[in-house]
Amino acid sequence: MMKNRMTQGLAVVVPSVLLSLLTPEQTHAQSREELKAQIEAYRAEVFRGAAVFLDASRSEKERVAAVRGHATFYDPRQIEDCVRVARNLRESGGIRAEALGKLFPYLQADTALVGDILSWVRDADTPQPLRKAALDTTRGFANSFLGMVQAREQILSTMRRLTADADPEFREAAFALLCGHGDSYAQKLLAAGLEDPTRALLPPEKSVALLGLSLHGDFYPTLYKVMLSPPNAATRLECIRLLGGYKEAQPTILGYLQGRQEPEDVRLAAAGTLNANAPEKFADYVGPVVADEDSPENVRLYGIQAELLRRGESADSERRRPDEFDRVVRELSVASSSDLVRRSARGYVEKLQLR
Amino acid sequence: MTSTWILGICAALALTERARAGLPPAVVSESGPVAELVAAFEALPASAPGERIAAQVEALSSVGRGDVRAGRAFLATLRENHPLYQGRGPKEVTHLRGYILAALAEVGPPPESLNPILAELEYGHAPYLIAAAARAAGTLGTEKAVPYLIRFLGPTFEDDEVSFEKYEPGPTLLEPTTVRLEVLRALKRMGPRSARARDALKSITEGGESSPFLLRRDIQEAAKHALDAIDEDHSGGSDSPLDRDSVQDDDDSWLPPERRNEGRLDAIRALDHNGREISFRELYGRPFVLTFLYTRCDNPNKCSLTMAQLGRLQQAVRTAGLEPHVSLVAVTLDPSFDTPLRLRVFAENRGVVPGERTSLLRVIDEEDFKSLLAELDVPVAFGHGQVSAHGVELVLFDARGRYVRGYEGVLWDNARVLQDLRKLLED
Repeated sequence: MMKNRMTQGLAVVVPSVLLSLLTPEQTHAQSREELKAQIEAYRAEVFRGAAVFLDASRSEKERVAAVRGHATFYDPRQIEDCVRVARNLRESGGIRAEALGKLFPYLQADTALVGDILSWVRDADTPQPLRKAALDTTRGFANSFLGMVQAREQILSTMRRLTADADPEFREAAFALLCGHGDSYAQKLLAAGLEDPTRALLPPEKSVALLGLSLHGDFYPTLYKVMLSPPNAATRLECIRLLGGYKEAQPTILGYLQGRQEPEDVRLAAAGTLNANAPEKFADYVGPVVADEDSPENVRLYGIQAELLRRGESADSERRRPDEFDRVVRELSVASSSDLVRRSARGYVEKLQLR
Repeated sequence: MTSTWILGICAALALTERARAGLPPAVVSESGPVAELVAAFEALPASAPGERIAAQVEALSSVGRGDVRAGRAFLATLRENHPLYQGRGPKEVTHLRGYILAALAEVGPPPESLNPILAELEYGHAPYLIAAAARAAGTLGTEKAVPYLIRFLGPTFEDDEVSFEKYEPGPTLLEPTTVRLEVLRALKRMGPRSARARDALKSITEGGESSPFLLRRDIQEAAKHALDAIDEDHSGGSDSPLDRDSVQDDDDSWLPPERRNEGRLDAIRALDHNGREISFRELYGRPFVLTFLYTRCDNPNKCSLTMAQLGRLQQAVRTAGLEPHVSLVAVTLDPSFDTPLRLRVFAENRGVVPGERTSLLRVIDEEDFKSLLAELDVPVAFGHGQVSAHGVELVLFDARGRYVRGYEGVLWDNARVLQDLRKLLED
C-alpha cells in the first residue's frame, strides 16, 4: 500500500525536484537533450551515493559522506529503503537523521511517516540528531500549504507540548511556529513569562517579538508594563514597535520620539509605530523632530518621507491647505544644515506642489 | 443525570457569588437551585476575572438538560456587546464566548439560539468558537444548520485541537476535540436530517489514499458514523421543531411607521470617505441602510465579507434603478485608526464604490460614537483600545432617519433588503 502511495507521489515530485536543481541560465542556454543528459548524470550520481548510504555494512562516516551533497534521492526503491532506515531503531541517530533529511520532498505522499516524525519530535528520548532532524522537517513541512492541510492539528498539538521542552532550541521553534499561527496558549505562556521572569520560557526580547507575530489587544497591558521597565534595550525596542496601537502607550512613545536623550533606534522605532497607528496626528508628533537640526538625520528623513507618502496618496478632496508641517519642511528645503534633509524636503515640496 | 447534591453545592456557590457581588439572595419567581445558579450567573460583575466567570458557567451547566432557564441565561450573554466582554482582549472574549457556547450545548440551547449559533458558524474564524457552535448546533438538531456545518469538512479549513473540559488549557488537552470532529458528531446526532451532508461525508470516507484525512482515523470513523446515522430508519422519529416551524422568521422585526422613533442620530457628525465632515441628518430624505466595519478586523469572514456583501447590495440597488432614491452607509467601529483613506481603500478593494449615495463614515466625537452604538445596540465589545468582538448586522432606516428593522444573525439577504427598501419607498 505504501509503495503505491509513494510511487504516485514520486511521479509528481521527482521531475520538479530535478528541474529545481537547474539554474535559470542552464535551462535557457542548453538544449533539451543536454539538459536531459545532465539530469540523468546527476540521477546516476545520486543513485550511487544513495546505494552507499543504504548499505548498513559500511561505516557511518562513509555512508553520510556519500550523500552529503545531495538534497534527496530519486530512485523509488531507494526512497522506500531510506524510509526504512529512518525508522530503523538499530541504526544510529545520525544515520536516521540523515535519512530523514532526504525524505522531505516525499512527505506529502506518506502521511504515516509524518505521524512518525511528529512522534520523534515529541519524544525527548528520541536520539538527539534524529529529534533535531525531525524538528527541522516539521518546521519545513508546517511552512508548506499541503503540510498544514495534512497534519495541522497534529503539528500544532505537538508544538504545544514542546513549549516546556528542556531544550531551548525546541522551545523556541515551538513558540515561533505556534505564534505564527496566533496560538493563544503559546501567547499566554509568553506573556506570563514577561510578567514573571521566573516563569519565562524564552528570553524577553524573543518573547516580545514572537507575540508581535499575531498581536492582539490582550497582551498590550503586559507589553506596556515591560516597555516601562524593560529588562534590556532590545526588549524595549520590540515593545515600542508593537505598542503604537495601544492608546495608553502612545503618550510615552511620543516622549521617546521627541526625547533628545533617547538613542536613534528608539526614536526611529517610535516614529515607525506612531506613523502606522496614529497617522492623522503623526505630522504634529514628528514635526518638532523634523525641525530640530540636532535630531538624528534618519528620524527626520523618516518623518518627511512618511508624511510625503501619506499626503501624496490622499485624494485631492482630502488635501488641506498647507499646515505647520508643510511650513517646517519648506523651510528645511532651503535652510537645513543636513544635505540629505534638504534634498528630502525639496522632494516633499515639489511632489506636493507647495508654493 | 445530575445528582441533587451536586446541584446543592452549585447553588451554595451561587449564593457566595451573589454575596461577593454585594447582592442579596436572588428573589425569583421560581426558587430552587437552578434559579439561584441563574441569578448568580447573571449577577457576575462585568470585570470578573475569566476564571471566575468560567466557574459560574460550570456551576450553571451542571444542571444538565431539561431546564430552559440555564440555556436562556447562557444565550443572553452571547451577544458581542454583553457587558461581560467589555474591556477584555479579543482572545479572552473568544475564549469566554466559546466556553459559554459549549455550556449552552450541554444544557440544551433554546430554539431562539438558532441565529446566534448559525452566525458563529457563518463568521467563525477561531476553531475554539466554531467547535463550540458546531456542538450547540448538533444539540439543536435542525437541518438548517447543515449547510453551515458542511463548510468545515473541506481540507482547506484550518482546524485545531480544542478542549471544553477546562477553561484554562494546558499543553496536553483534556478530551481534545476539533471543529471537524464536532461537526461530524453534530451531523451524526441529526441523523437523516443531515442528508445534505452526504457528499461531503463521502469525500472523507471514500477519499482512499489521496484523502487529506488519511492520518486521521478519528475523522474518518466519525464521518462513517455520521453517514450511517443518515441512512438509519428514523420513520418513527420527529423532526426538529425548528425545521417544522418558521420560528426564526424575522418578519416581526419590521417596525410599522407609528412605532418608529424619530431619528436620534441627527446630531452625530462624521467624516466621510473623502474627509468631508457631514452630519447624520444629511443622510435623511431617503431610506438608507447602515452597517459597521473596521479595517483592522482580522476575521476574513466578517468585515471583509460585510464590505463585499455591501458591494453586491450596491450593485443590486443600481440594477434595480433605486440608486438615486436610497443610500448605503458603512460606519467604522475603529474611528481612531480608520482614516477616510483607509476606509475608502478597504471598501474599494472589496467591490464597494464610495460615492454620493454610498458613504463610509468615521464618527468624529467619542461620545457621539458611544451613543450611536448604544442607540442601535450594536454587537461590539472593546478592550485595550481595540475592537475585541463584534457581530455583523445591517440596519434599515426610513427617509426620516427612523429605525425600521435590523438584519442580524447571518449575512443579510440582499434580495430581502432590496424588497424592504422598495417597500419603504412605496410608503
